[in-house]
Amino acid sequence: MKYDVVVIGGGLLGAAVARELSRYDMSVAVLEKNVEVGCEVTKGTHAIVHVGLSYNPKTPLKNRAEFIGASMMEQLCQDLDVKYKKIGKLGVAFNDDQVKIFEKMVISGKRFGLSDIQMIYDKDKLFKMEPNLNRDVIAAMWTPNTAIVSPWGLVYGLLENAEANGVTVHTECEVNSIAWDSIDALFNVETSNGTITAKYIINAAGAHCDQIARMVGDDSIAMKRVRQQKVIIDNNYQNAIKHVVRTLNAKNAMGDFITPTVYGDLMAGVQLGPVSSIDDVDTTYEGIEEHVVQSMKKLVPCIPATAIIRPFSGVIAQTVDGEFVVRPSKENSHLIHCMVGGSGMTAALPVARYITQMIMPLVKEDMVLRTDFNPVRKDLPHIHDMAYEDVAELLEKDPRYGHIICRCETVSEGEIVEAIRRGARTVDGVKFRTRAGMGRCQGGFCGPRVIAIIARELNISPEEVTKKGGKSRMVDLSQKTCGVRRES
Amino acid sequence: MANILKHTVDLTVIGGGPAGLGAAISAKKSGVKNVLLLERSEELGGVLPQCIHNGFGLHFFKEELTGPAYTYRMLKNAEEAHVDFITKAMAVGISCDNTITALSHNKVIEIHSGSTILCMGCRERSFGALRIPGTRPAGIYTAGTAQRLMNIEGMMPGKRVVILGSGDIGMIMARRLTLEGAKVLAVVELMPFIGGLIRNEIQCLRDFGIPIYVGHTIKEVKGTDRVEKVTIAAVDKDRKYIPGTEVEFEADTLLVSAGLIPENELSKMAGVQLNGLTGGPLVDNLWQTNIPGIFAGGNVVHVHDLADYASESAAMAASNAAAYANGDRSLDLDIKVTAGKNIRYVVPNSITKAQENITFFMRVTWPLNNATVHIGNIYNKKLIFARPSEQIRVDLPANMFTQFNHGEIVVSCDGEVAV
Amino acid sequence: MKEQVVICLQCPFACNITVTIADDGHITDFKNNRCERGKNYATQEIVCPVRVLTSTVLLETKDKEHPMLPVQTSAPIPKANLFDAMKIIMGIKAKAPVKYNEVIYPNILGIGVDLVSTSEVLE
Repeated sequence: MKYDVVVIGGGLLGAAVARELSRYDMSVAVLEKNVEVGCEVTKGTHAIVHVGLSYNPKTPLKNRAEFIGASMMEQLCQDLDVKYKKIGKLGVAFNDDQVKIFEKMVISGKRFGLSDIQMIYDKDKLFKMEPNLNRDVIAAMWTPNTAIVSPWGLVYGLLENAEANGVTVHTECEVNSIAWDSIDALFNVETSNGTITAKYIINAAGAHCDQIARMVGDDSIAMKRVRQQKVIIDNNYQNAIKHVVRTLNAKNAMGDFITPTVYGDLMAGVQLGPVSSIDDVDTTYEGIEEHVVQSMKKLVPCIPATAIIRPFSGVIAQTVDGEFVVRPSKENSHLIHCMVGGSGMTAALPVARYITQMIMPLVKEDMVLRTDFNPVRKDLPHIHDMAYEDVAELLEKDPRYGHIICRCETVSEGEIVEAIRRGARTVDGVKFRTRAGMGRCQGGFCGPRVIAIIARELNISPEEVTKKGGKSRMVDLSQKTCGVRRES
Repeated sequence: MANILKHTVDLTVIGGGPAGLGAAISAKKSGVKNVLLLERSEELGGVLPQCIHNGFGLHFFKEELTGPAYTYRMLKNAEEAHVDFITKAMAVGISCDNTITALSHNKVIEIHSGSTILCMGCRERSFGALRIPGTRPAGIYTAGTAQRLMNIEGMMPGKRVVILGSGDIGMIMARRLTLEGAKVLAVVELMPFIGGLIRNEIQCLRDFGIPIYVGHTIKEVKGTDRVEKVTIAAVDKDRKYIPGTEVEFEADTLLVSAGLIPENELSKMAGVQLNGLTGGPLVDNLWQTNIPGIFAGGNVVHVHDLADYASESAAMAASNAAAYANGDRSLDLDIKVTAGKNIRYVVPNSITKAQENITFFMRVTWPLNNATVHIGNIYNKKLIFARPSEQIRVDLPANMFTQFNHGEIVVSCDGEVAV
Repeated sequence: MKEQVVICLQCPFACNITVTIADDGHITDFKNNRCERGKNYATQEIVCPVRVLTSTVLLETKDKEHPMLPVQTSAPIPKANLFDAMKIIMGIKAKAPVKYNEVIYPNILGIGVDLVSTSEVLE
């Protein structure tokens, strides 16, 4: 397999880069080591589009990318049919010291160009905006342009659009080594899927960026990884808050939050802690019970802990100093690092464009804009969000959209089949694309049915169906039990 | 634009499990002409076709039956009563004027109904809701999901199993898994007593020597892809882990049997008020919700011990819904019923009509011996024991209550604490 | 002589019946039982406890959507035979149509009890 550019990593950044490159007439592939795309760092992110407030003189690239990215997100989501809602953010202060810190943020934000950011001191106004907010809050910083988005929705949208414009996505394709062939001036990328050659490599491997860098002898990326513990709250409480509500942490930076999600439930967090390894996505008693649950109660006291339907955690990776690394490798300029963190989602599109510009002088003759690039992608139908008339019309074409599989989130067989057609291979892949199993029963009802549909559509045995690839089998047919009776 | 199919019926039953079938049959027998039952699954029976164990039917059919057999018998009755039903039809909307929207096969149906009986049943509390620390690998199922996998799909969830929760489904699955060759390493119960029926404790756990850990819970689940290790620990009275009491199990599967929750997403769409104690609608002694013409029966109201009782309560709701559909809408009482001391919940929550017998269902919060249930100051019922796992039923003639109109009746229980 | 406690399952009272067993195996006394049924039950539990076995067998159908048929023993069988019965059940393959209460496997383990279906499958 030969490509002009190989993007390592099928997360949000890799997807954004691949889609930007698909504007040009060249061959591009995305290599994702997992069976599903967007299932590592992306899956665990906040889903909040930052407005570029956290101005830090040490991270000019990050500041700039975040600022531009926030303004580009709405259009991107519109093009890709990805859920996006501008709901605004309240940074809430419980004491005078915190008020002062927010006031400083407002001043620096305004200097940076965020003209609509302001303090709210009028409590009546504040509690009218957010009636269930803790009455101990004395003032708040209001950023009206903060938005929420579906991070994995973005990945699916970007990659499906990239594929429609000619990009190849290889899943279960783990990069083992990279060798530079100086005669032909190309990389030989050894993967779990065989050798792939590429003239250029974009290292968008998220939490594994440093590992990929080391494959070309580049030790320059110093990363730190932080685990974030969060919870999802039952959509019974979807009207409990209307905006992103955030408080300051002990270091007076933005800390715990509670936010609506684009899907109608709420998300709260976040306990930050060091991790022993990249795969350490454990939740802990301290993290969830002693931190997240407490902070949730502190922000919005009316939501009980019993409304939590799922705790989860994700590992975010960033450089030690917090700045993005978007530059060619010092060891080989044909490999370009694309390492973001913190506000990577917000910054993804500008970073992707920056990378395109970076490759351009290198390849010149290859970078011809395609005339047939289509920026628009349609998401699969979600009958949960559709008017009954539109559902009726859809059912006439395909009755499977009338067969509800996930009853908590009203997901039909038609949606699941379509998700598989678009690349879902696992129970989690179906879950994140369709929301089957995301609701309050957490797959209790739809689980066996989803396994059966995946097995049927992929023409595999139910035992080969996994939750998230690897050895995460859903059922066990290996013993002399009812399973064997079925197979015999 | 595609057509939305419009239907007008006298009475709609939402849900085709033991409650819905009981309701539809009863409505037909009460003389309602057009009864339509909506069932979202491929077949009728609700959860019962996967409950292949016996213990059903003793009350309703006076015969011990398995879940599939109970369904078969109910379906025969439904057939004789000429109940109309649609399967693979999920009600997705209902408004306070008894208009129901359902997705069915290749059609969206709008049903204008004279009255409605909610019989959506209940669902299991999920693993996520328990907030157990650790990883979130494959191999974690609710007991009911595992039951469906085994008994309907013919697939084993795993080989080495820890079960959290000693409710009836959890214990029944412990036996089923053991008989099919899996090793059940432990049944772990947070409370200091078994949650399900004694019969199941003996015939499902003790018969097979399955270790029982009461007063314990799961401290951590580990596993990257699939469950690898489950650590349990004893808990103190505040339900905090007691250090040093940890026991580790090398398990590949964790089943959760941690209670059932009435499923009322639809009810809320119509503006039906829910009872925080049961999770089900607040109902009066006619099983009518706060929305006129919308009734509820079976586990959607509160979780019954037996499918038989769910069928029975839904049938009671149906006879009143039938009267409503036929134009009898008079109410003559306004009495509140509330749960008092040692009572976790009581149903009904109000008495609105002096009609025949008034049936109270309740559960105690803690096991008691030599217990007395007080229905206000009106009536005392003596019981040798009262257990949270066994609902208590009291039937009283309605005329006992007429003098308390506009008042409140507090239901309470006292006795000796048994555990 | 020894004593054994049997929890009676004949009614919700669930009496803890203390049974006294003589050295020759004969039952000599019952304590804490509320009724006669308790005595019979406790005797059965000590001499030869029996259980109804419910399970599933593989079912051949046209649509293949329902691969399992629920079955039960037509009468309680000795507890000691449960796993032997399961071994047989695992090898049985029924074929649709199946009537309710139809004998799927007669005289299982030669103990005079049949395995019968507890559901109806039309095709």
